[in-house]
Amino acid sequence: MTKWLDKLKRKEPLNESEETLEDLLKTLKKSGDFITYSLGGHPPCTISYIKTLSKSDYINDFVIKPLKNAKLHSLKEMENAITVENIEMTDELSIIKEKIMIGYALIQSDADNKQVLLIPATSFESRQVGTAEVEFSVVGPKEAFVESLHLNINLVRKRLPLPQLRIEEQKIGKVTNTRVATIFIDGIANPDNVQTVKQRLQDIEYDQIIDSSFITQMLADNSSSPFPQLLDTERPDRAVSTLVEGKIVIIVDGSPQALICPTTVVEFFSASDDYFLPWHLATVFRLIRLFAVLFSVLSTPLYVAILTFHHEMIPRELMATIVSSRSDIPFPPILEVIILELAIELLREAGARLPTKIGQTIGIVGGIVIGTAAVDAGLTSNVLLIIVALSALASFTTPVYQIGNTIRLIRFPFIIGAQLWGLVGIAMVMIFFMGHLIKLKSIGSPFFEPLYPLRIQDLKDAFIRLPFNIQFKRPMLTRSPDQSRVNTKRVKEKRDIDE
Amino acid sequence: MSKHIGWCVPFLLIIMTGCIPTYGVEDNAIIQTAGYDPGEENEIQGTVAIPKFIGGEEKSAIEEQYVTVSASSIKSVEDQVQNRISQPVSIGKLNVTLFNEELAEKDLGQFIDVLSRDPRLSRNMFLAVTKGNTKSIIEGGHKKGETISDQLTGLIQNNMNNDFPSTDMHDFLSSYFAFGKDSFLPYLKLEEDKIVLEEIALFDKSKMVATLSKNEMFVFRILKENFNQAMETLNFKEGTVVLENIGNRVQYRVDHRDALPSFTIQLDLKAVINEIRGIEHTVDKKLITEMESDFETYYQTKATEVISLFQEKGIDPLGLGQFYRSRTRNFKENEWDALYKNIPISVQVSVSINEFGITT
Repeated sequence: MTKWLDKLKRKEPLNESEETLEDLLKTLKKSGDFITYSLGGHPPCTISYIKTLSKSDYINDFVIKPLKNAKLHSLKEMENAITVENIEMTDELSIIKEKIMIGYALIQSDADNKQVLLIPATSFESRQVGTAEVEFSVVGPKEAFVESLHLNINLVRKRLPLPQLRIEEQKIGKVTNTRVATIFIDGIANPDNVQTVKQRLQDIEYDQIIDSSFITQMLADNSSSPFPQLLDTERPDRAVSTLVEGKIVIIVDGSPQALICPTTVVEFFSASDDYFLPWHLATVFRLIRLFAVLFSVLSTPLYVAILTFHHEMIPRELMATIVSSRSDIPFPPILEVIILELAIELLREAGARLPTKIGQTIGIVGGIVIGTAAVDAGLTSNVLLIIVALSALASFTTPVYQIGNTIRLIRFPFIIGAQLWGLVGIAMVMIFFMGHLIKLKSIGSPFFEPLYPLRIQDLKDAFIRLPFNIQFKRPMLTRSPDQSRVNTKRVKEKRDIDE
Repeated sequence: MSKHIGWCVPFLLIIMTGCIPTYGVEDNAIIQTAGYDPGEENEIQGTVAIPKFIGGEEKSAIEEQYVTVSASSIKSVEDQVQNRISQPVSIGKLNVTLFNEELAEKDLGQFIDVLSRDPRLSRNMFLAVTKGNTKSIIEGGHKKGETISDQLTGLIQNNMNNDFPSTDMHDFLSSYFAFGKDSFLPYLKLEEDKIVLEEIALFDKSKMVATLSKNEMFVFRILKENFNQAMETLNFKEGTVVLENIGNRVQYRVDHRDALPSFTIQLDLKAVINEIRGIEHTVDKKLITEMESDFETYYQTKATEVISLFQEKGIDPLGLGQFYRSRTRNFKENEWDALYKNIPISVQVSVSINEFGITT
């Protein structure tokens, strides 16, 4: 009984059985890509590295050649002879293990038993930086993050040539040991927020971190919420602009999506395009997008509620259209809606599994074909087909994929509420979601921010986007220690000169 | 115990949804027009029009079903209609309610009471009085592709954009229940197979007491409210002039100085001339000034006529009583009716013609 309990209580997922360097090498030798061979010499020394992680040519040219040519006796002499930067000499097993697993070459000498040389020879194999596909924009930068942490940080760094840019790395995941970088600007980001993020990252207890979305779910203040509480982006320009606002960016090795926190619900509906277009155009497009979200969530529930309970709300002119399109349908409105919504969801899921983005387009076209057939067969009314198709279209306007999924899902509670209690039901479900949103937090900051708590100042870049020459201050959401974006006094002086 | 209440409320809410039978909109018999006529021996004859929307190929073809029943009360009309229709009757979309002139002259009080209490009914509904049977209007007015309610609402609504003063159930009830104000309704009649709206039925509380004819309608409207539509044809010299109102202003004033209060109605009419016919004189500023003074006297006499008709019948569709009460301290409600008939009401009209077109 106690044995069984002890097994459950085991803390580390893998037993740390290697206690000496020999043990470690023995374990590694079981893999085919681990290379170890003797270089000869007096005293003889051995070089070992993992072929698939290290650059073999590099090791040949800069490590083995200098060692062969010169007569070297101690590790110290070797370290001087090898023309590679950042060589480490150590005898600590944990460091040796960590470094060898990320592609360092290891040199042992018979003369010096304990000490070894660790030579950095990591090969940074990565996909080329491509264009942003999920958050595509017609104007503006096209670069997108890739799977390599090294490259991603480079994309951020080159846009922010600033000594205050701080990048702090942590290793998370007991098995995967994934490198997670927390990026912020010292002096602009609120230290409390930075502390919270770092603390929460440290507290993660899990064996694998495969993607940044794992971190999104683990860092969330309320992990049962359907709303994502960290904004994910694949655009380095967006990540940088939030850094400047005082937010914190988390980049996970192996994931092409950076996470931004703290964030608000409206930020999920603002696209980078909003900042590349003139402010009035951007404002209109952003409002259209927000309207589209409301339409997408509420249109089919309203259809169910009005056709089942509130016939009086149908305008006299529309009565004939709706009634005549409904008159041959054998189902009540709720069944009709569920059939069509499910059909659209099926098509979307199928479209997402198809190999290319074209798959999605084909899926939608297929949806319309199926829909038309359903109308002809008398299963659904064509008025509803238009509503469902439009609401599906409207849900694609969200610039962030994660919130699009949420909108897809929260429509169903509204439909059920509408069938049970009509408009009152829609109001009740709305109250429930509003209450949830008002209570929700993103890294300790209010998620529903410019509206609740009402911060008039932050409305300048929420539902509308005001011109840049009005936006003198960083968002109140971040509680930045350095509030002003510009020196307002100098701005005023410059204006005076112009006039 | 209080811990369980949180669960009980949603549970009860879900259970209780079973108590309401739900019907899709297409399963209902939607009454859009209703008419009431006097029946035999104190009974009421009710006629309703229920549109039938046809699906499939001919979507625009709308058929209408008419049901006429005799009932002893207003509510039982609905009940009796249900006895003759296979679908559940829905009264929430009722657009127009018609009353036979005979009923209106007797008393509409009971109808108004029932209509104003029914929460299913819209306050945007139109009420109207008909000359002759409502049954013949409802059954005779139907045209292809247009229900009788479409036709009647269209008729009343479009005339409200012309010279008919604004009316609906809300307006009617507000003046019906207000002190010192009487209501009016459109007065419809059937001419051959066309429904005509040319008169206004005037009410003393719930009884219809008089009508205003077509050429008094415009005067009544400019006396009652500010608006900026409507045309009127007036006689001038040997021909006729068509005047178009582009904005009028009406102001009531009351003079308390004497024991008997006196009213002044100040009417400013801005108009343009649309058509001049049969006048053998070049149109110039001088002629226009002549026209203005001519029309001023015309409107003055016309308005005075209309107002003296109101005073004679003891009705107050302009709401002068309401106006007077709001401006009088220690107003005595029971003395007003006797007072109203004798009050001097003078009308001052100023007509200004802004445009008369380019003439050579």
